[in-house]
Amino acid sequence: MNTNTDQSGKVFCFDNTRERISEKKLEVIFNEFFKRVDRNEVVEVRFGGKSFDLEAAQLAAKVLPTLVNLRVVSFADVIAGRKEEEGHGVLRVLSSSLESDQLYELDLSDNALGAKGIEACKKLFKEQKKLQVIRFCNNGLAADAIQLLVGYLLESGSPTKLKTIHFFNNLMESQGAKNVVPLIELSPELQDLKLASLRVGEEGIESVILALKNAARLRILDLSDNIVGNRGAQCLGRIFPLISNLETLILRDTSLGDKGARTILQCLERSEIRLKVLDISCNELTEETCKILAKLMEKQTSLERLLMEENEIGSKGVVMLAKALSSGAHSHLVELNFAENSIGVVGAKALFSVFVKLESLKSVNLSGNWIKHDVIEQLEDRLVELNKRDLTVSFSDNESEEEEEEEEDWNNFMSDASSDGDKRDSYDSDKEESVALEEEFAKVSVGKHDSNNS
Amino acid sequence: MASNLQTDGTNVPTFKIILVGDGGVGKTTFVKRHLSGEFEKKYIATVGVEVHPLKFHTNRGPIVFNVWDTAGQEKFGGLRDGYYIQGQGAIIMFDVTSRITYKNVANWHRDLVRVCENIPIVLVGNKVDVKDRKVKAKQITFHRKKNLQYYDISAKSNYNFEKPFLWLARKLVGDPNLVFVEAPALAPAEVHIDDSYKAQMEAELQQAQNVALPDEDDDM
Repeated sequence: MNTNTDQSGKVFCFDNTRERISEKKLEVIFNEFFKRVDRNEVVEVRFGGKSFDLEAAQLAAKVLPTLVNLRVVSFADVIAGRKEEEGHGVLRVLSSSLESDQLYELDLSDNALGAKGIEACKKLFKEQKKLQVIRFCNNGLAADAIQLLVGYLLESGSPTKLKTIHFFNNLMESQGAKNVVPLIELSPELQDLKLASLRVGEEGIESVILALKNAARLRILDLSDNIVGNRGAQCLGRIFPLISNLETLILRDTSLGDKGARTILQCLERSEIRLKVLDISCNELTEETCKILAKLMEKQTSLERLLMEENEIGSKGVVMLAKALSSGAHSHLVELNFAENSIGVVGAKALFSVFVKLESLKSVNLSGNWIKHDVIEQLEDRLVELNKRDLTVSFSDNESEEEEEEEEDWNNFMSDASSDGDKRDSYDSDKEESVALEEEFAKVSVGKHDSNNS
Repeated sequence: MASNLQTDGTNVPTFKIILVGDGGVGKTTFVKRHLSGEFEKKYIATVGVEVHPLKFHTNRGPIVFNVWDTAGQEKFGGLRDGYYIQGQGAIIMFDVTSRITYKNVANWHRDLVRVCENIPIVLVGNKVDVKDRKVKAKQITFHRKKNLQYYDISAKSNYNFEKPFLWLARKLVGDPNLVFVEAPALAPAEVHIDDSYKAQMEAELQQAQNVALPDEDDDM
């Protein structure tokens, strides 16, 4: 058992062993805890990791109402391995024990809820009208369960106080996404919406995005591992002017493709949105997207993390982005992830010459690309020379047979400024960019006497 | 692996098969397709698991797979040793329409082999009837790193239903030529996959198997 103290009070939680818990054992733990901690000081209870039987739940239900300052409750992962009826019985007992309007935060993740489980917890949803944070991750919730849940949460007819709504790894699908719409529309305080890994198709995503029209306070939007596609992208682009406080946009693995990404990035460029985090990983993006992203980056100088691993941007793409970052205006940037992007030597060196000058940068991921080992050694030596202790650069799992495709050697690239960085190049703008970057690179990568960061 | 053989009292060889994977991937739907198994299933309260005895008729006689459906287990890690102990074979299932369920395969595998060190394991990707796949054939590489067998399946259409069991039967009986001589009674297909799409999926899978893997271990 642990007692953590957060800023405002004490937290009850168990040790890290995931196991079944009996009434007897729970009683011992409670007794020991409340010998040391005053009940009035407890603001948060986390029951996760122990699988409750009915008797244990009944004991907990006697203790919970005595914690009058309780604000945060996690009933995540409390019924593992229980028979369905028993598990729902446990949830019903725990849910019924709390005083109304007491909770600000509720986490029910990692329980096999389904619609029956939601029904078992209905007292919580109906009576806790001050909830600001709800989390349902990994609950086996399908469309019927979502409908039931939303119905309970909105039963009073008045808007919720919800700031954070997280649904992750459920069976929501498009119909479930449509069922969540009334909750989003009636949550005007919403700041953080995560609807990720829910098997939602374009149709469902479209409904969710349109529901954001009143979510002016939205700062974080995560739609990962669903299908946003081009249709969702267009919809999102149209809603950007209404959610201009957005700071974090996570569209990882959403089947965007270059077309969808283009729509989103162009609409972002026209919007007032200043992003801190942009994740467009795993979307089959090529240098096409980088062209537009590079343009967008010029304005997005508040960016802290740019994540686009598992795409196909190649050296061409990364050279364009390197150029966009070479202005030095991105003084908040802490992370760049270009892992698994078929980036060769030219791209790696171009990026390297730029990122070593970004003082705020903490992490660059170039693993799983096509960078030759001797070049990696060269760049790693250079990092040591530059004494960049706070910067971690990953080059793991580089070089494959396809790496030979990138024939251009850095020396050629540098010494022959009139040629393109890439002989197979078909982009007219590439040449210009290569030349423009040359000066930057010369200072950092080739010149052995630069005083940068020394 | 004759030493692993158990019998159910009627001298039919019987094997304990563990079925794991994230919530919603279709484990229960899959195991329920086998009608007599669904009819005869038993609940073991002490470990919170439903056991479906699935009987298959082979050229070497009938065998029974006691499939332990760990339904309602939304989270891996600990608490599961009761399922895994004495498991003789396993099926790890993910859903090709959800990337996270594939990512979690590594966790289920780790959980499983901690208790069952050296049992035959089949990886199956369910819901291949859905055209908007999130996990494509070329991205399914985990089984090659860990020497597992892989099959695309679609529980709702019965596509490849028997494949994981045939592979497990061959491994567990120790006869690579074992065949099923009679199809088990399955619930009628709820969706239909047309033959050209099947052929396309099989070609993509074949192509993906021929691509060299980078030298890495656990990452997927």
